[in-house]
Amino acid sequence: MTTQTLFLFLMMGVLTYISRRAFLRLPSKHFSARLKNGLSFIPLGIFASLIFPSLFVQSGSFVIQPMLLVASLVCLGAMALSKNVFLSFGVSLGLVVAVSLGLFSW
Amino acid sequence: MKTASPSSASWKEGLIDALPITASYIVFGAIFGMLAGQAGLTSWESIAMSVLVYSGASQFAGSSLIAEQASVWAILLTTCLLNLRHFLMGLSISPHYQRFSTAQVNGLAFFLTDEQYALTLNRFRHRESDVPYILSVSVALYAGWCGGTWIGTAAGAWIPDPASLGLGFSFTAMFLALAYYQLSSLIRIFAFLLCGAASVGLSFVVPNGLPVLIAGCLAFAIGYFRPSQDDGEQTAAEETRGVESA
Repeated sequence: MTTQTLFLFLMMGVLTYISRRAFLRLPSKHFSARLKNGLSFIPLGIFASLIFPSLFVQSGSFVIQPMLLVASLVCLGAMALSKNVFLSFGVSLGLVVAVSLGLFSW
Repeated sequence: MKTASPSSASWKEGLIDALPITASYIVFGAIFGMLAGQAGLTSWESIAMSVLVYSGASQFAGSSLIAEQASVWAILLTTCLLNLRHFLMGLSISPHYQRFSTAQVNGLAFFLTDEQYALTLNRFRHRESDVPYILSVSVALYAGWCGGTWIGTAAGAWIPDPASLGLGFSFTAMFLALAYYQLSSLIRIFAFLLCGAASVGLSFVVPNGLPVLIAGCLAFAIGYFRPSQDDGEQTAAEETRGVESA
């Protein structure tokens, strides 16, 4: 491994670390009730942004993938019924894997 | 009879909670190891990248840019753009880190990935934040990613394409299951759908990494300007668990 490559990885690591550490702990005096309400909404935006493009964007194009949409609904339905993250994760992923392997036709 | 201490119980719960995503990390770490090899990195370089950078998006993009012989500055700029979302993740989870020492926050910050964020945030929804839990989730995921990279460099040719097995859906499924708990009122469901639609639209026009940041800001604005009674109660509960216990 060359020194230049190691230096590049170190710089990438430092930049990544700074972005993770920057706001991880702010003094509590900055947290007004309104700000806390705003902060409690941020996970919604982050989750939505991690979920929706993976369902509707593929290779730079808008796509509708019925199997993934059904699996997503199965996941949410299982959560509503069981409140069990692992069960919901397993059932919905199992459905997608089973269809991908051709265990049953779609 | 001996009973487990709260600390060791948290460790165990963290490892169990992280198990499904650790398995996915091993698979995708292996894919990274394989692709990094194809991009011209040696086994040691691939593993060093996972150990030092520990960011899937940055590593996939970085190895691809290395293959294209892009400049160091182009790679670092791409890394910055892809990491922008971490600012908001850190900000939103910061109330739960108030009770930790500076040294603990400094150490835990290294492990703040999308999946670690999702798992720990879900835990702190109903339990007080604690270092052993975060650390066990973090160590499991980190070991999975680095170990997966090593497997990929050693056995890349035999690794099946995860897309053909539908394993790409594993992260989506976990995020969906964890997001369910966030959808506790109409305004929150509306914010979720709006941010999802915005992210899809943005993914065609802005670089990777930015849609998450913009969607997070949009969600923050909705929560900040349209507080509802439900959300006030939820925030109050979070205050009790997080900030006020600091």
